[in-house]
Amino acid sequence: MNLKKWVVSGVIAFILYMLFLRLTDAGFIANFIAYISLFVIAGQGWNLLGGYIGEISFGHAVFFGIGAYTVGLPVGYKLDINLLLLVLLGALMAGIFALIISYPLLRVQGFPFLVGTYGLGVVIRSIVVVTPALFATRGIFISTYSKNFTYPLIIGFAIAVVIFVQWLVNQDLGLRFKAVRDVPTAARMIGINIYKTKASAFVIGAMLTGLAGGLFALYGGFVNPSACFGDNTSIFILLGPYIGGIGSVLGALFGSTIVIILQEVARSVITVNGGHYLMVGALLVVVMMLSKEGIYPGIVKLVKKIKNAYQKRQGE
Amino acid sequence: MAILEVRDLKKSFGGLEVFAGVNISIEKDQIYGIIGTNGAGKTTLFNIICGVLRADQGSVLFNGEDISKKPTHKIAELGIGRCFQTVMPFKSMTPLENVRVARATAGKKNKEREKFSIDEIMEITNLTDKMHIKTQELSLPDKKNVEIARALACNPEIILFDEVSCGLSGEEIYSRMELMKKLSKMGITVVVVEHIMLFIKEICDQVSVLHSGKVICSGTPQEVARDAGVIEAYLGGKSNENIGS
Amino acid sequence: MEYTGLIQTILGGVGVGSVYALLGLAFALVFGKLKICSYMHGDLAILAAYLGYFIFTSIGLDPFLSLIVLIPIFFFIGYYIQVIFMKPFMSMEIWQGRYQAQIMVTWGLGMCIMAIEFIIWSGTYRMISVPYRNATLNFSNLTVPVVHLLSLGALLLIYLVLSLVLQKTDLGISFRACSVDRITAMLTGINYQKICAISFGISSAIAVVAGTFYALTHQITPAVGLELTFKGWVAVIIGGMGSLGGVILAGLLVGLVESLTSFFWIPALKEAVLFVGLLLLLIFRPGGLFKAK
Repeated sequence: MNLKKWVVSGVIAFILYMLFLRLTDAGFIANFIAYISLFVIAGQGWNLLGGYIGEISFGHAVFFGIGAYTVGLPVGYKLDINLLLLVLLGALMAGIFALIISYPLLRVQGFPFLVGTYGLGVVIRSIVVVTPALFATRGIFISTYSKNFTYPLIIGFAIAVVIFVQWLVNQDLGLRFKAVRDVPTAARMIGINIYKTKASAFVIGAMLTGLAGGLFALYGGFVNPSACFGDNTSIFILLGPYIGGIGSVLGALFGSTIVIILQEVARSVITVNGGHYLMVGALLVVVMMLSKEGIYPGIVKLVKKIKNAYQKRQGE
Repeated sequence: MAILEVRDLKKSFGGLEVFAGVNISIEKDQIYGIIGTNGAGKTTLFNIICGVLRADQGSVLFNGEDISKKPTHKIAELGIGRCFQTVMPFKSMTPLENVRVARATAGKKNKEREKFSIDEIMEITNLTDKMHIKTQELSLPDKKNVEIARALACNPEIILFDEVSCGLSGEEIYSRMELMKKLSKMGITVVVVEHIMLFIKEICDQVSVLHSGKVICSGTPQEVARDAGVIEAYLGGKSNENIGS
Repeated sequence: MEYTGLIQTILGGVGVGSVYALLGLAFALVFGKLKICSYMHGDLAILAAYLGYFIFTSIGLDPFLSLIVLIPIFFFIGYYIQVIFMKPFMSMEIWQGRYQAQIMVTWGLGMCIMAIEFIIWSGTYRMISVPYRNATLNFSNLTVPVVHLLSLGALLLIYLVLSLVLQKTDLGISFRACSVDRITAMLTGINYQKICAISFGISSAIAVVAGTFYALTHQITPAVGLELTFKGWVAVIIGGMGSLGGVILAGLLVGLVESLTSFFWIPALKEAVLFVGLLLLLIFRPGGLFKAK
């Protein structure tokens, strides 16, 4: 199976990153790669639901935020708990919350689902903002590990998550996701419980996104409502897989990287207010017009076409 | 005891009455044919059996158990497989994955009834050499084969075939007939919906004729072919206004 | 006095709600009948608001007068957005991801519009300070802002005109034919793409009206666009997925919920309450409150 290939390239990538980290002494680029990896993790989580089930969620920041706040709150209340344990607990909390909220949300499909998830984001953010017990808008500072530990941790998790998702979508459960997306009626006819299947994609995806949130708290050493629960977080999480190619692991990886790089370019090169939105928006429109499935599947198709044309010519 | 029994089924869409009390009883290991003109409600009948649509009145018994209130996926787990008239394979997956996912869901629940391994299913549906190509790139007959393979992978006790001959050539239809005969010999009850009389005559043990929301005749194919009501319905009778779809 | 305060709040809610209702109407027109999903009308509305602001501050033209210019301009913008950007997705079926594709394209366009607004007008809150902005009509001890009355009037007028057009004119008949069955409509000789483009143009024109009224009652900033889009969609969902009358009632209800929350509780939670209500609705009546017949 080609899973071996994935594991091998993952290990190689990890070793390369460690070397790079040593050489540059945890400089800007190493930092930036870690930041991208956070959104790669979150994007893979989104992609399980958005790509493999086909329901676009506009509120994955909720799970991201739950992960981050599970790390942040005990620190804010001066409880002495292992931070790594809290990161894993955050993922679990995000999963549990997703399980509860899936009951109303998964009763509808398509754009009501989208609006519902957006609404969920608004609700949770508003609650955090007005609740002093959750530190309202002040946020929480976390005295975290050193960069030389946090960055490899994030990269390691990102690689593990990518391999995990790649493995999952080829398991029976992953096949069930695709079956529900392709033809719900036929999926029911072979005994698939649609609600349960969707909910499992939702919950697993939320756990991954929650994991990204927890790691984000370690990465930045700071959590606050706008960074964790903000609309922008939701948008970055969902745009990556969508631009890169929904329903494909590599595409999501690719897309999240592009979106975050663009964000950085907009912030440091073109300093116009709103420049980021212009670039991402235009990119989204162009990608959708050229290839309805995103950059990566589009490129794969193009390569196949060229190959076929070439073979035809060879034949003549 | 009948394996599948439809009792006094009534269904209407708005003002349009599709079924006005339909009774069908299918014995085990038979090949049972249901025929009727276009719009006689054959597909609706299958949809009600599978739980996709709900009947207004009446019940569907499977091995003596009333399944008319159960959700579709539970019915599939009990052992009713189905092939659609308009093909609906899982397009983004390969035939092998189509079969695997069915094996992993309803097939798992009915493991004790397993008659074919995955390889055997691919073999008898002629998909062995195509099992790694995405289903959306296959031809129509192959897509139909994928559906049959997927239904078989659920380890069903009974399979409902909805117009399998539709869009196929003579030879392909013939191979489907052979397959159905083989399945019924192996202990899987087969129900076919068709409008080609020849097909029905060739393979079925029992036939029912649906017309104007009622079973107007049932019996062996020979008996049915002689029935005056059937001849009238098929060769243009007077009662054509009342037909639902 | 508490009692008049409450009535005042309800009136204010209805006034704000009419903006949401207008946007909902714009969505319902193209979604309910032609199955076109747009996520950019909120941004179009804010763009129109900014243009109104620009015209008002530069040459002092009243926003209502500039509507005369803006409505046809936005009709053509909408028309060509449909022709250029949406056409490739019109032949997709729903299960092929038609809505997702449409949502993403329109949302991308909306983001571009928002970015352009940011670049030109920056993120500072702007306000069209027309003299009648704070004008009120007094009924005994109730004061009703004139702008709210006007927006409610505009909402009813647009609804009546739309229903009349849909019922009586040739355009309306071809529109309804397209909504029933695309293929059959095309076979009868109706130019399906053109009908879609015209409808998208009309809905963009409605968004202009919504944006103008929004600018007259609120301060505007580019980021509001997406928010308005979502509120419009909430109105569509509550209103039962595309019945025009239902959407109007639902839009007014949305405004009412917001202003009542602000009145009785914390203003910062008004959107939270709205969306909690939406989630409850999804549990108990997934089909919407005012279901289309």
